[in-house]
This record gives sequence, structure tokens and C-alpha cells, in this order.
Amino acid sequence: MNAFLSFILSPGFYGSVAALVGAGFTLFGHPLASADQLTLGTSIAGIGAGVAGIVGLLHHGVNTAKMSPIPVIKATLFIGVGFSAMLGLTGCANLKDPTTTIVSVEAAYGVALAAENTYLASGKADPAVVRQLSTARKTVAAVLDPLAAAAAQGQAPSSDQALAAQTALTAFQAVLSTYSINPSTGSN
Amino acid sequence: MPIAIILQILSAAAQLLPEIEQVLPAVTKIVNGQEVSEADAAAVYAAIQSLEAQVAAKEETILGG
Repeated sequence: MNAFLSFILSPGFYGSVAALVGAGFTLFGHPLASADQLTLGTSIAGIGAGVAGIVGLLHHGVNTAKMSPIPVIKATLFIGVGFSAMLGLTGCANLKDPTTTIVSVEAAYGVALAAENTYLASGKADPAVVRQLSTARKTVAAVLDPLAAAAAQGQAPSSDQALAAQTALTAFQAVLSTYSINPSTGSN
Repeated sequence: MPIAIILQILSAAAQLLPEIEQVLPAVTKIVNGQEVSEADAAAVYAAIQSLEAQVAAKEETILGG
């Protein structure tokens, strides 16, 4: 029973469910769903993953005499990925204002960066994972940074550019998620 | 969406991830359905550039340049 409860309360469980819901909406829902449905679905997925991180953090913190760094790292990554997905996709569902969309994607990228930053500072970072994160992050930066710089000077990007930035960000979020939920990486 | 709940959870997350605080004002506008200003965009851009530099430096240290 304790093992079952631990599984149900684990960030991996909620995170995986939330990631699946989010992926479903992103991959299959986008052409069919209205902007409102997409916003709702991705917000639920993002909040789910974010809350999973917080629940996981509290669960491990309350139930262990000393805080192990690994659950904290995993929880932090889930919080980062969850809110990052929520902000980015919610913003992207409202492409009528590309500047707001780009700032949404930037904010989401910032949250994902904060999660990576926490992981890198943990002293437990696996170089193989860091290499993947670095590649995905640089891809986002290459697409997003010029658009963000332009937006900061009042120049609005096109909807296609905003979507391209969101797509690159989703790939970065996927690497963070993969690390968090895959126990075979050796880093968990 | 229950915007108040989103903001409450985000504020809680900001306790754990201080960097979130830097983008919170713009995020608050976005989830409230308001358009962001040029100043908001500039503030978020500056925060992201700073964070990006920190992360890049740490990656370089771990990957050995």
C-alpha cells in the first residue's frame, strides 16, 4: 500500500499524465481544437505538472527525515516544465497579438531555463543529459532571441515566427521532461 | 480559467524558483488577458538574457568548454 501511495503521489505519475494530456492536445488537438479548448487543455496539463512538482516536493520533504536532492531536482524540473508549457502554449493559443505571444514564450523559456539552472547547480548533473539540454536550449535561443530583442524594441513578430519559437521551446521542454520521468538515465 | 488560482500557484512556484519572479509581472498581464507593453517585453528580455548567460556558463563548466 505504501508503495502504491508513493507511486500515486510521485511527481513522475502526475507529470507523466500531464505530459501525455499536453502532448495529445499539442499533437492532435491543435488542428481541430479551438483556441479556447487548446488554452484550457494545455493550461490543465501545465498546472497538473506544476502541482505534481510541488506535491512531490512536499511529499518527499515531509516524509523523509532529510531532504534528498534527487526528488527536489525532479520536482523542480516538473514545476519548471509544467508552468513553462502552460505559459508558452497558452500564449501561443492567442496569436492575434504576436508580441504578447513572444513574451509568453519567453516567460515560458525563462521558467524552463530556471529549471535547468537548478539542475546544473545541483552537483548531480549528468553530462549526457546536459549535452542534450544544451543543444535544445541553443536551438530555442537561436529562434527566440532575435524575436525577443525585436519585441523589446516594439517590433511584432509574425504568427509563423511565434509558432516556430514555441515549437523549439516544446523540444527543450521535452528534454527536461524526459530526464525527469526516465529512471533509466542513471541521473535519477 | 481560474486566473487567481494560476497566479497563486505561480507565486508559490516563485518561492522555489526565484527566477520566476522576474517574469511574473508580464505573466500576470498575460493570464489576465492584457496585452504586454514594450517595457514589459524589454524587462522579460533582459531577465532571460541574464538567465541564459548563467545557464550557458554552467553547461560549459560541466561539459568542459
